[in-house]
Amino acid sequence: MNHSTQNNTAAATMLAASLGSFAIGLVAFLADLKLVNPPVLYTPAGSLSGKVFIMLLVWLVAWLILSQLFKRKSVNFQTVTKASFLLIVLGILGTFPPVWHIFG
Amino acid sequence: MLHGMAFTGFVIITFSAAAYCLWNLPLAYAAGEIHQNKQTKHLSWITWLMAIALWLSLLIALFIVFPQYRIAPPQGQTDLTHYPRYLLLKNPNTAWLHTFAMEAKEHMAWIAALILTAVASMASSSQHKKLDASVRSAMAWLLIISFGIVSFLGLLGVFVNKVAPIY
Repeated sequence: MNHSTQNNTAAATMLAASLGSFAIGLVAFLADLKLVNPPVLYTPAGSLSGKVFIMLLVWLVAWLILSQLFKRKSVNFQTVTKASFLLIVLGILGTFPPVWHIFG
Repeated sequence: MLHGMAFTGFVIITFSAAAYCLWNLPLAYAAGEIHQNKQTKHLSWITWLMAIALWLSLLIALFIVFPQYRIAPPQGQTDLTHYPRYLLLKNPNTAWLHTFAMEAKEHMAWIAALILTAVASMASSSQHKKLDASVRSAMAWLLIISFGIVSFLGLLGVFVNKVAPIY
């Protein structure tokens, strides 16, 4: 595995995790604003189970697709890193209750 | 106990070990292949253990702790000791522990688990190879972010547990 391929693998892994982070932030934010209604997959845990399921789905599907996609084409690791950190920050903000209160 | 003290505690404590391994990678690269392989193997093991411990902590929280936290009291129940969510919301001085602390804990912790898993995967794919400085730097920042999230939420967990422990 050369450096470029190795960086592509790392980029796919990092971007998939950040897409998952963004997904739970977005779903939590929209659910608090009553704009989406996450499914209740495990009744004792309520809608949190649905939010986590959506996050896992986005993360794993993104990981699968990106790892295949990045195998075939060269990616700019710096750009992917910047996009990933932006998505993570947005995800964190989406799960931060004071942000919900600003918009809610 | 398992959720907070054992698994999350383990994750917080081992952050320093992971950071040390990552920080020392360039030295290990310079010291030769044996040191390099040893150091990347350690980093991979530590980060995977951390990620697994955090996932276990979160699964325990989702399937055991959180359902107990949100049980609604029967009508007319005045003693809310065994109903933490309602105990916190009853008192305006402690309501923030639900509306802020628990709400953040419920959602934000999963981000730390995703990030740590990414770091572990990046570390294991680096075995027997030299990682670029840009990849090492990204891994270090991801570690710092997940450490920040886990520590912050751990602290909030201590506050919640002080006022409304789950029996």
